[in-house]
Amino acid sequence: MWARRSSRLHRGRNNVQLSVMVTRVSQRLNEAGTPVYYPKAELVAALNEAQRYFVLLTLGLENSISWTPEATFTHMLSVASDWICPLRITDSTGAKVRPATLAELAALNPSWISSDTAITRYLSLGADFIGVYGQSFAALTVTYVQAPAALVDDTDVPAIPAEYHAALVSYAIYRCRMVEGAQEFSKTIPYHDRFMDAAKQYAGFVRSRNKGARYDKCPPEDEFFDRSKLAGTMPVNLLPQGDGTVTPQ
Amino acid sequence: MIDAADCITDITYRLGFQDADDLDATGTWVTSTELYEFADEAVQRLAYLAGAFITYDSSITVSEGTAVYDEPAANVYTLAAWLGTANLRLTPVRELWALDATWSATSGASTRASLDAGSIGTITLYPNPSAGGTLNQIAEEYPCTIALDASTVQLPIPLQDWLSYRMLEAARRKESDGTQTEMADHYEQRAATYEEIVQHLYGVGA
Repeated sequence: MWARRSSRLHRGRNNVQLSVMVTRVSQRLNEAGTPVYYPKAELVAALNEAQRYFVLLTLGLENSISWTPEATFTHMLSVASDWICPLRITDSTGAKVRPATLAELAALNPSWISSDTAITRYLSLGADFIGVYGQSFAALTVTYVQAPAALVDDTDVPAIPAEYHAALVSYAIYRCRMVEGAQEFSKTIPYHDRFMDAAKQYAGFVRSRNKGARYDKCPPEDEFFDRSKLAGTMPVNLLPQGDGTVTPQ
Repeated sequence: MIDAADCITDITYRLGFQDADDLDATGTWVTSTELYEFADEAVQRLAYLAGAFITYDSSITVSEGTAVYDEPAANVYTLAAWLGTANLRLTPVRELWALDATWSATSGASTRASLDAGSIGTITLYPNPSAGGTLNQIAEEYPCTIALDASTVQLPIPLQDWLSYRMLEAARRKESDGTQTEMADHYEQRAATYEEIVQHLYGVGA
């Protein structure tokens, strides 16, 4: 499955440039030609938000860097500004540095913060706080979930797989109409539902892949999210009806 | 690293303003100062809702014969503590009583720390330390106050949108000409979704 997806990505057959996505969003907001009510900057901001949210929901974008710790504890946002969370850490031999909790490290060695051994365990807490067990600091390879680079130029292409680019367009339509308020905005909830269905599909793929690769993090389960709550006090007949939603009686 | 100033740029249009100048014009129903306040409140709330702001704190100096110390002002909770590099096992006061009937009068090399033996916001070392040193802690600490020119928060880039939704929610819920409670409800649920992801990735709070 992964090989098939990779080959499609490399061919780039379905890749959609930023300018094309902006045009599609604009057309579907009934603004063919030059955007007026929904300015281009707003459309681009909406598409960027869509891509960031897609990656956060799916953890589907990763990067590997070489990193040599300089202390037991490090805030990884100072090492990689696009950091989201760790997936795997390996040492120079390729051996996995295993994740551990504070309780496990304390049980392993009560003086673990000053242990003068090679790095064999790591601790991940908070948004970017990483601790290593072993102060014989050497280069590590850190694979982490990466925040997507912002789409800026007309020729920029989203970093997520091409088959999900249409989901970004759906999200951007939903997001642009927030300015109008409940009655008009509630009509765009199905667009949000379509985006979430796409994210759910891809998150399932990434989850299976991450488990197979023995990564240390998986995407959140879709069951976390009750999409029916998103409608809040909007008209009940406009609630999303898609997969994974609950319609109040 | 995210910047609340970027969030304000991001939500200006959704609040019905043309640009930053329009937002800060005289007599608008919401101002950028208020938006920074909303952002600050959202971040303080996240600090106890999720374990997002974990840090290594070495700001307390322990003195011989003094067992009780005030936690740093920003401390939300402590996960682990060491006196120098010696592990201090976090222990509730009821277990100190069980361990040693006169625990508060016992002196020696500290091996335990209690967060409920003293008043709220203090950490108590047991035994009463016979030598000084640095108290090192892994702790959740809320970030500095968010305001104009002090608006960065140590969170990954995608959570910029979480902060935007919290600001939108608070602005639309405010009693004003721009009140939209149904949109505020929607923004709140969107922000809550982000917070569930934060809890999944980084752990729950206190």
